[in-house]
Amino acid sequence: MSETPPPPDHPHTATDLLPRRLQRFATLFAAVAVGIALFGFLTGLREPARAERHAPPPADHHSAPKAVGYADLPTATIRPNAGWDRSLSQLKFDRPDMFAPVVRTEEMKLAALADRAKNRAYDGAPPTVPHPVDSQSVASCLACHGEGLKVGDRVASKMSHTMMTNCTQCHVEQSPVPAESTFVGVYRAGPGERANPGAPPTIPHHTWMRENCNSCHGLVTRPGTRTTHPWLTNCTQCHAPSAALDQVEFTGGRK
Amino acid sequence: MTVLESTRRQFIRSAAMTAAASVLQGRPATPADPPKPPGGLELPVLPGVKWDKAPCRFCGTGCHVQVGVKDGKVVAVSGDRQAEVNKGLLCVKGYHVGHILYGPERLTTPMLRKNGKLEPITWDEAIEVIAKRIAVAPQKFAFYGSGQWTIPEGYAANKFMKGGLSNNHIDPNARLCMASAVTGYISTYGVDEPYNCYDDLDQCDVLILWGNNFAEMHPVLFSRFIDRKLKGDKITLIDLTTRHTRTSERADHVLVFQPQSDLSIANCIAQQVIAANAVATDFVDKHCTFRKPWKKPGDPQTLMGEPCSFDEYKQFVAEYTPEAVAKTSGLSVEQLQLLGKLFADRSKKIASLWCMGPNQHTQGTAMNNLIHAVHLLSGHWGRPGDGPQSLTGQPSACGTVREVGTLSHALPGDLRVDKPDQAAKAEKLWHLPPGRINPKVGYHTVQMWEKFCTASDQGGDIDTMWVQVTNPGQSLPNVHKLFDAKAKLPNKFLIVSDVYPTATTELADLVLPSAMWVEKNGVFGNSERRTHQWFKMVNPPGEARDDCWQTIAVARKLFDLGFPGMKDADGKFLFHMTDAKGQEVPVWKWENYYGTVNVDEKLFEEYRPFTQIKHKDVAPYPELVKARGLRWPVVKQPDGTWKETRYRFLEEYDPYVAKGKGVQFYHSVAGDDKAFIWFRPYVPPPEVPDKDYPLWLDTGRVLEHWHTGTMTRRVPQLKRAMPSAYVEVAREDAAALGVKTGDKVRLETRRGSLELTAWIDGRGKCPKGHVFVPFFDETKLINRLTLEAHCPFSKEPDYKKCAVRLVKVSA
Repeated sequence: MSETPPPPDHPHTATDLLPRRLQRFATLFAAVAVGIALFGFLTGLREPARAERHAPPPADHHSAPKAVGYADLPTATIRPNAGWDRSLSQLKFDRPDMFAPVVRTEEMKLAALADRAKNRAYDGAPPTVPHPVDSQSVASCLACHGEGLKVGDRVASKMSHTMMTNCTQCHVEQSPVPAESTFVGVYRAGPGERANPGAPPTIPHHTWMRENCNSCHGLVTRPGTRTTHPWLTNCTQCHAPSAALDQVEFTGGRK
Repeated sequence: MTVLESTRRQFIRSAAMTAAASVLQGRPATPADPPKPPGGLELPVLPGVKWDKAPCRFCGTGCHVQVGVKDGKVVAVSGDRQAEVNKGLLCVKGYHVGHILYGPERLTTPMLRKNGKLEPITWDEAIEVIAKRIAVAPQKFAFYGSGQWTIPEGYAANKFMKGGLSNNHIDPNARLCMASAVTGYISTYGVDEPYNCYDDLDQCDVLILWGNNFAEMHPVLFSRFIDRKLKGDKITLIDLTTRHTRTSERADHVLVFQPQSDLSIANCIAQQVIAANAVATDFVDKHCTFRKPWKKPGDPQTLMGEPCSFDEYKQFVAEYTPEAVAKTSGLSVEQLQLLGKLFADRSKKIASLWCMGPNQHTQGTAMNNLIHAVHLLSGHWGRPGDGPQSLTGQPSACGTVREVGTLSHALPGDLRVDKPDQAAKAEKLWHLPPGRINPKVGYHTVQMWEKFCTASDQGGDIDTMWVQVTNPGQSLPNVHKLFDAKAKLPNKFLIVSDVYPTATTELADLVLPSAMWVEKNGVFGNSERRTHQWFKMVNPPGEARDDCWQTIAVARKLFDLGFPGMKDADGKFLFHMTDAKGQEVPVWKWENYYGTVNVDEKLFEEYRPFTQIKHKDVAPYPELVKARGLRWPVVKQPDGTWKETRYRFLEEYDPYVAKGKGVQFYHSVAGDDKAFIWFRPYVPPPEVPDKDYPLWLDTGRVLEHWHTGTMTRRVPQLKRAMPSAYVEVAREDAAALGVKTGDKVRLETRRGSLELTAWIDGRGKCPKGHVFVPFFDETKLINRLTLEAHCPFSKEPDYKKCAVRLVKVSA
């Protein structure tokens, strides 16, 4: 059986569906519709005019969901704190300008050293951790201490030594319990020796476990110990370490 | 928004975060007040600091530290880069080891209890009190020592007791921690201590930890291994454990087994190696024989057992199939097969390490035997990186206890008091009249304390006990029975030499203030046969004096009182020492102790010939002065230098192996140069959870604290990191009891009870039905709850498993 040909007046396109007298305006209609859509799309893409932003709500306990017990965690509905997205602007990563002039006074240096001594038993002791340590994974430590970061006046120092993976072997958190000791450590290694005023000082402390000078002297650190010339990166070109402090002298035994 | 407001908000936010974190941690929510450096901004500086080497005071790893001293005080510590053990790295305890000298409560004067109160007395009075008590009843005196004794201290105490008082009631706290490893080595190889060393950690492909939380207990060794992953080494960590720990976090395979089933698991490995036809016949036929623990199953097991054929052995282990062991061990068939396949593959180098898990075990000797057995049977033995090695928890458990023989049956140099020929050897070296040494084995730790804590008219025949460098009031098991009972026995006299007030000094009748660590000369011996020496660097506080001096002073007092045992065969004082001119130096007088002779060197050189008896030759003192420790046997070379030995029994390394032998167990039990491959059956534990006490109680340590915490709890950085003991509870058990983190719960066993804060999924994670409590906290004595049941051969108690119940006290 041969195929029945379609009736000649069967509509083939959308235009065909329009009343015959409007068909000649179809292209115009389509162009207008596409134009409106495009305008709307582009307008939507554009950054809106900067309206007065709402200040983040005070972080009181009403805005945080009630904490659940560990036992209930698997079945609890977990949702973020209310308004978390509005607090993001406060957490802006803060990196000082490498070429901004560095002002550094003796008082600032001593203040930085005193601050540093707060979580070190002596110069050279591994710093204690001033925040809770919840996760033991290396990745969680590296998230902040891998490169170092500064948020407001909070600094997470860049790791000063080469990568090791058992962080909590040496770095432990501190809880506020009374603890006394009459141990008095050397809190400050320096100052280094200068051949003459203006000459670069020698490194007064050991560099073993402190291979990364930026950890304490770089841009993301306390202003008082910051280098005045962060753009020069070959530190030991001018600042001589001590073989004795670094225990690299070959003595063949006891020294 | 003003600055002030912003600061306030930041404060509120950080306070809220701290509070939230504290709740999670089960800690109080007040922010820490960090310690202020003394002198405000006027900070002391590093120049003028004098550095010298010393081994760390804490664990058996034997890290070396550089100690910085200024104006007579320790002011800094640095990892010693020349030390092979730690290669410049330390753990948080090691970095803060200098603090242990400076706790505010250091004991600085001898004190005698008068009318219930400790009152200061002079050293002369104190020494006289002790000497007179001993003179009246020398056989009712016992000396309880330590794996923290330096080698000269332990040697002097041992000579004083066995050579002077003819009294063998001397035993160390190491009985509680590594005695099972000793009996394990002796009954396998015929001689104590590992054949291998830490170098295995650098060489192995696979590391198996048998019930050992390596990351927290031996952190420096752990990172020596685990950091190899950074270098791209393909290494596998297998954690055989009863609870998920920090070690488990880093392990490739975490195999959580039921307590005591380790015996079955080891036998299951042997069964699979045989079934896979993977017995290392080339090695086993030449160097091993098989051993069973009895003549026939059902008889009591013995330490040295009976010979058995391979076929018999095969039959004994046949029932320990993966399918059968999976039913009791908590491991799956696949997990058991993982271990079996591993041992059946000789291309991989497998290192096994263990510490308190298999040692503090009522089948401790058996467990040690079995770990050696699976390695010997499968041929995973003798290549660097391929062998079993036990670890120790104290800095000189090997040096002072095992090598000096400060155990109730032993003499220096692996000699025994109950073997007449061996005792005669010691008498000869000590220049004593024949027969001086008492042939009867003395009381081991648990017995000794039982006798001391039992009334004299009820068989408690120890009346006077002298404790040095240890804290039994906290570390003994079942302390109610074995220590606290002393309080009700007025005629028992407890002498304690220590550096701080402890749970032990609380009941002491006489307290002697001791010098510690770099306040005195010392020699320690670590877990890998390494002997290391240090010099005194600072003065002890007040009237504190060396433990060794205390022993010598009492010996001299007895000599002066005419006690015959304090004289040698020529009538000279037991600790007769002469200076370079041959003049006797009265070292029993404190002013001479650090004078013209180095007492440590004199004692060590007197001891050294003992070590040559069983080819454990320690290096001469002057050689140790130059080194960061040397691993014995240290043998003089033709060119006059001294060479240490990394691997014993292997011809390539050990000069005492006969030429051409390859491998030679030259002290083997049977005298045939062969090691034993042991079968030891599964034996159920003495106490298991039941309906009254439904949970397992496990005890142990944490990274920040060392043993009973008398030192580390006085280091602010360590105390703040881990302030107090807690009980780790499984989520499921906590939910059933309605307990949350931070709630108070009471633990009750048949022996005692204790209130603790619950911590769910904290430092470690217990499986359902288990709880864990660390023992470092003297304010929460978990050993009031533990069991004193012990291994029949090593007499080491099992602190790792007993039955407990939990009662919620308050939220």
